[in-house]
Formats: sequence, structure tokens, C-alpha cells
Amino acid sequence: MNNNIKYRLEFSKTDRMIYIGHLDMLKFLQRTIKKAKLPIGYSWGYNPHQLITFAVPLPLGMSGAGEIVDIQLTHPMDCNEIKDALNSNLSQGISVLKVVEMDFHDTSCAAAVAWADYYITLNKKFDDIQGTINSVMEKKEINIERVIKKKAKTVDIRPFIRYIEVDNDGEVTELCCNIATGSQGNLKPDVLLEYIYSLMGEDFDITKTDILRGTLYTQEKGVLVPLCP
Amino acid sequence: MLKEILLQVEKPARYIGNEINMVVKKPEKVDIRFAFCFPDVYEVGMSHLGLQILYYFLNRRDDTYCERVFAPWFDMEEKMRENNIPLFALETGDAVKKFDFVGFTLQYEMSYTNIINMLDLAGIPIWSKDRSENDPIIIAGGPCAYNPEPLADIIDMFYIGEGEVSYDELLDIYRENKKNGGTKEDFYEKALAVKGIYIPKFYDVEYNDDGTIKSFKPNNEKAPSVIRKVIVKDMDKAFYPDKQLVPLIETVHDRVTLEVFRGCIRGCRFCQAGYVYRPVREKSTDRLLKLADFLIENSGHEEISLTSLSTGDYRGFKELAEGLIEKYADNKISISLPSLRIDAFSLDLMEKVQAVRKSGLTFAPEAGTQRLRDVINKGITEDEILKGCRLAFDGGWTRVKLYFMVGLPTETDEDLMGIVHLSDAIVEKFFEIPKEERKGRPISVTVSSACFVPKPFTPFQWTAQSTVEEFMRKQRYVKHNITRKQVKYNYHEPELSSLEGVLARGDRRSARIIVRAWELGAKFDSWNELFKYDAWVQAFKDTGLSREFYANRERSYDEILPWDHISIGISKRFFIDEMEKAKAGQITPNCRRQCAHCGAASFGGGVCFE
Ligand code: SF4
Repeated sequence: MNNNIKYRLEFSKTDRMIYIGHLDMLKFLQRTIKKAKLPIGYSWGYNPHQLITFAVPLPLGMSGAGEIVDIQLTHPMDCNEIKDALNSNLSQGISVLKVVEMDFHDTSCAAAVAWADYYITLNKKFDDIQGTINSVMEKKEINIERVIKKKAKTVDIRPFIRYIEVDNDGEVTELCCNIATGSQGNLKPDVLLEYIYSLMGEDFDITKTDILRGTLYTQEKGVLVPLCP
Repeated sequence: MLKEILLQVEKPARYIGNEINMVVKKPEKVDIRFAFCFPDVYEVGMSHLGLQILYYFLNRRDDTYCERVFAPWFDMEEKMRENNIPLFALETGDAVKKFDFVGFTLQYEMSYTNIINMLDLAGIPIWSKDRSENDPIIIAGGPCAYNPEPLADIIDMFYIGEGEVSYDELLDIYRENKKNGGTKEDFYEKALAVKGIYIPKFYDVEYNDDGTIKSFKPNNEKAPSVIRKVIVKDMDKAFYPDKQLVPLIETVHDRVTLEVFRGCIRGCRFCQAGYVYRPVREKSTDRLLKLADFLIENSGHEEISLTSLSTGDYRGFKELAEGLIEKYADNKISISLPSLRIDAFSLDLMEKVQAVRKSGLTFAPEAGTQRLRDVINKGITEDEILKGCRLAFDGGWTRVKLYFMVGLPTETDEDLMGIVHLSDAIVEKFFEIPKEERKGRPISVTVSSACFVPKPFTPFQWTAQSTVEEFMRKQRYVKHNITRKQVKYNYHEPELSSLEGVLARGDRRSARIIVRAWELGAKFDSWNELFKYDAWVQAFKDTGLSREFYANRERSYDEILPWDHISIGISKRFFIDEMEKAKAGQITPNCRRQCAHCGAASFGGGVCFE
């Protein structure tokens, strides 16, 4: 009944496009797909919508270098053709980097995503930050208070951190970390940064921080595999 | 720095441009940089058709880069002032002060304080006389430019009429002048030869002791004594963009807009748009269907709407509507219809396009009694409304919205009672339907009343506007007499309409009120929650200008009106006749039924020659 073909797109979201939030991004992509005349599939029902699934929303203000979205087309298309059709219709700041055809029964990117790399440029240079990071990594558990659905809840975020690397060679401190991202467990980079700053006795201000999300991964038998192969 | 600020304000996408179909040019490669300024927030300005047309019209010139500027919202303005960031254009982010032209569109009087605020944010002197050779030329057009006088000391030059006609000539002259090392002054002199251009500083005004105008004369021999509007003669040949800017965030109207015709055949006597856009000029159905295709294809929008003053009057309406439905019904594109005269055909059409939910029916009787409807020449009868309602009730509609005005010329309490009676009659019409057929659905009638504002270039341009107190009494009277629980009454606060009344018929001195109100904190006045009435009241006190003089005074036919040097192609004689007919309760048939010889035939096109 459903002969749709599934494609996975990897795209970047940078420059001025970081100022649109997830819902606007979704609408933007829907319109671009229409404009590019891709034979997009629609859901059934009274209010049909395009069959598009994002792996995980990218918050307003953050850049992305390897964002993932799955789309379903009603007719097969060459992957490069899809890529070119979209890129010639996209505004500056968003570009499709790669398109791969998926097996229809592959887990959707939203269900599969588990980890993400983040590249973070801090507002200044913290000479002793390596010590703080070491102490974070040595902890067995890190309980922080989170407000979830208006209820305060304690969450242990330690299992959500795989590694944090420090690059202090430049004028300001840069961090590269790999943290849990997705429905199985999710750690927002700003929550982590706020925690690290608090250990250093500093105030964290997200508006003075550059955050770039890199590769998104799924986890297969304990091994991290990029979502877009 | 900008990034930090953008992350601190609400909806940063208001300030970044980058929309689908944004025009990208290299500023250093063009001769003319034009900043198109809409004096309201992004979401409002982006929904404006005129902006979309002029943006692509100007940008089709290789020598010109037209960029957009909107009024920054409060939070953004605060950050900009804190960090000394001047007003910038969305496309390049460059400061507006660097541009050759800064063009404002004047859509409603209550946006004037935003113009002052934007000039100030741009670092451009507010008063025209204070600007130097290095400042941009401030130009303004749009419906409110038909009475340019309240802004005459602020705006350097006005464009009277439709942008497609004279902009090319004006910009050519500008480019040549710039190339030859001419000054701004040289340019102004040369621009006097361009049709539709009004440059206030070439005119002097003298006043009588009672404050009325004694004389209005050119002080430069090349300045025309009357500036006649320029309009497109043949809409099929006129430029119309084949694409549209598609915003990255939700705006007021998120859809493709198809302009069906310009002008209106009706001649409602209170309606300025109905006169200033005369005569009616239609596009052919073929062209519209073709344009619709382009626009949909190039925008990715999922909705298309037809816009014009009274779209149902389009001669090819049936063909057009059915053509669009046929094309797009299966294509996940919805069609939004304008409010139509309710009959079997329009109900059927509405049924087809809004399968989802039966939204309310809208009627605009504007006045409560037939007598007053004749006075304002609103050609709709109670019988028509009731018949339309009955048809609609039978078809399953149960929500009715009625629009009225209070404070119309010759209005009495009896006319106000008429509002109540008409809404009651609609409810009764509903209950005529046998109970079993009503299926328990409740009826609701929403009555809204706006406050009448007399506008220039209408037969009512001489009449006195009701005062705030009078408006309030009238609204209370209607409210008090509405007793049926099915009828809901909404009304506008009269303070805003009263100020609109002052500015609409203001003269050269009125600018002082606007600037003073702005100094006292007024901006975004048309945003109810932000409207600072006190600032305006204080502004009248501080400037010594009388609001009664402008709003609540009846003028005589021989008074020199502040806008008498502008011509919309309709003779004053016609307006006087219309005013007299209004007083006598006589109607004037619409242009298609019988030409009333208003004068607009002199443009040589449109309905006058059908
Ligand atoms: S000249 Fe006649 S047809 Fe033309 S706009 Fe005036 S009234 Fe209408």
C-alpha cells in the first residue's frame, strides 16, 4: 500500500539561520521541498502533512554541522538529484551535505539518535578548566535539579557524558564533548556548561557562547555509529 | 555583538532577513541603495502586498538594490540603543543612514510615531530641514500620502500614486545626477518634472487668524500647483512579481497573495480607499491563473488568497475561483476567500474551499438603518442580509459577524438602535428554522462597531468627527440595548480613532504633535496594549494645537483643505454633490450600474471604459 522510499538527509544550519527555532525550521523545510518539487509523501487523514522526521531539534542559537532529517518520497530519485534540487532552493545558511537512501524498515532517525558531538567556544579563556573537567569525569554520579513538566526532579547526568576535551591553545577556551542526545537520554549542552561554570564559580551566559552540534550518532551494540552512514 | 543581542530578544528572525526569495546583490555593484521601510513590526510589514510588489519592482533594476527595514520591537530597540547599533536593513545588515533613499510606506496614520522613531534610530535628523548632503533622501508613499501635510516637514519627497509608474524615471534622474556630481538640491529640482512627485519644501503655506489655510503656493516656478496621482492603466501589462518573499517565521498572513484588481466600484462615502484607487482596473482571469501558478511554484506556500477591495465584484470571479479550486484542490493548497456577498453561489464556493470548519459569516452593513446606509451609500439591505443568513443557516453556518461604524454623519440614536434590531432579527431568523433541523447548534452573532474617522478625498472630508465622549456614549447606548444572550458586542476604544481623525485631516503644523507625542514615549500606537494616550493628550497641550480644530470641526466647502494641492483625479465638485446627496439620503449607483462622472475617467482606462 505504501510504496514510499525513505531518504536520510544530512544538513548544516549556520550563520543567520541559527536564529530560527525548530518549528520554523520544519515549516521552512516543508516549503523548500515543495518549491524544489520533490515528490514528497503525505500522511493520511484529514490534515495531511509531509512525511518528514527530524532526528532531534536544534535549539535556536546553536549551529549544526551534521543535522539529520528523514523524508519519504513517493517516487525514487537519485540521491544527488535530491541534494541539488534542495540546495538550489535553500536560503544561505542551510545546505544539504549528503543524501542516502534508506531501507524503509530502518529505524527512524528520531528513534535511533543517541549521542552527539558538540563543539563549544566559551566567552573567555579559563586557564584551569582542565582540572575542573577532570573532576567532572572522575565523578561516579552528578545529580542536578531539573524542572521537568513543572516538577523539580533530580537527574544524574554523569551517564550522559562520554567525554569532554579541552582545547586551550587559542584566545578563548574551546570544548569538544560527546553527550547523550535523544529520547533514551538527553543532556543539553547548556545544562552541562552551567554545571561546569558553577564548579568554577563563574556565571554562565549562553548568549556569549558559541555552540556547534557536530555528528549525530546511534548506538549499535555499544558502538557509536554516525546516523548518516 | 549582534549575535549576543539577537539571542536576547524575542523572535530574532525578525531581524535577519534570509527568507526564501530574498534578493541578494553586491551593494558595491549598484548605483542606488534603497531602504524600503515599513513602520511596523516585521510580521505585519511582511504581510503587506505593496511591499512585496515594490521590492521586486525596484530590484528588477540592475543599478538598484532595494532592501527591507521594519520597526524593531521594544526589546530590540532597547538593545540597539544600549549598544549604539543604528537601524539596519535586513538584506545586508548595513546601516540605513548609508543608503541613497529611505522610503516609508504610509499605511495608517497611527504608524507615524514609528517613522519618527525609525529615523531617530537610524541617526537621521527628524526634520527635513536639518538633514545634510550626507543623509539619505526620505521618500514616502502609500494611501496616507494622499494627505501628505502632517509629515510634510519630515519627509523630503512624497510619491503620490502607484509605484510602478514613476519610480523608474525618478531613479534614472537620481543616478544621472549622482554620476554628474549633482547635489541633493539639484536632484530635487529635477524631480519636480516627474509625475506624481510632491516635494513639500517648494511650497509655502499661510494661515488665517482662525487657523484655517489662507493660501498654499509653490515657491519654485517648476513646482506644479497641483500634483496628480499616477496610476497603472493596464493591469495585465503592469509589473507583478512571479514570486514572493516567504518569511522564516509566522506572520500575519502566511500565504501567497493574488491581487485581482485595483480600485472599487462601490463608492461607499466613508471609504477613502474606494476613491483614491479609482478607477477600477482588473487583471484578466488568464493572467491571474498564470500568476497563481508562478507564485505557488516559487514560494512553496500552502495557501493562496485573493485580495482586492471588494473581490466579489470581479467580473471573472466565478471563473477565477473555480479555476483555482480545480488547480489546487488536490495539491494540498488551500484557497482563502475574501468576504463575499452571501448567495447560493458563494455559499457553495465556501463549502468547497473550507471543508474543514464552517467559520463565521461576515457582513458589513456599517450602519443600523436603511436611511443611514443610504447616507453612506452602502448598498446592502436588511432583506439581503437576512436572506443570506437564512441560506447560510440552512447550510450549517451558525456564527455571524457584523461590522458597523458609530459616529457616522447624520446618525441619531434611532440608527444606533438599528444595530440592535438587525442583530436581533438575525437571531430570530435562526429560530425560524424548525427545531429538529437546528440539531441543537447554538447561534452566535458578534457585533463590532468601529468609530468613524472622516478621511480626506471622501464626501465626508468636511464633516465633524464625534468626540471621544460622544463615541463612548454611543457605544454604551448600543451595549445597553443589546439584551439577547446570543448577541455579543465588541467595540473599539475611541481614543485611537479620535487621534487618527486628527492626523488624517492634519496640516503642516500637525507634525509637531506627532514628534512631541513620540518624545513623550508614543510608538506602536496601533498596538492596543502599547498605546500611550496620555502622551498624545500632553502633546496637544505642549504644542498648543487643538485637536477639536482638526477632528471635531465641520469645514465649509470653500475652505482651503490641507490636501487641496493633491489630485486623485476626482473633482471637488463631485465630492460636494456626493455630500449633498448623502444629506438628502440619496444613493449613487456603483460604477458598473451607472457612471457618476466622478472624473476618474480622465486616466483613460479601467471600468470607465468597460
Ligand atoms: S468616471 Fe464613472 S465609472 Fe469611472 S470611476 Fe468615476 S464614477 Fe466610476
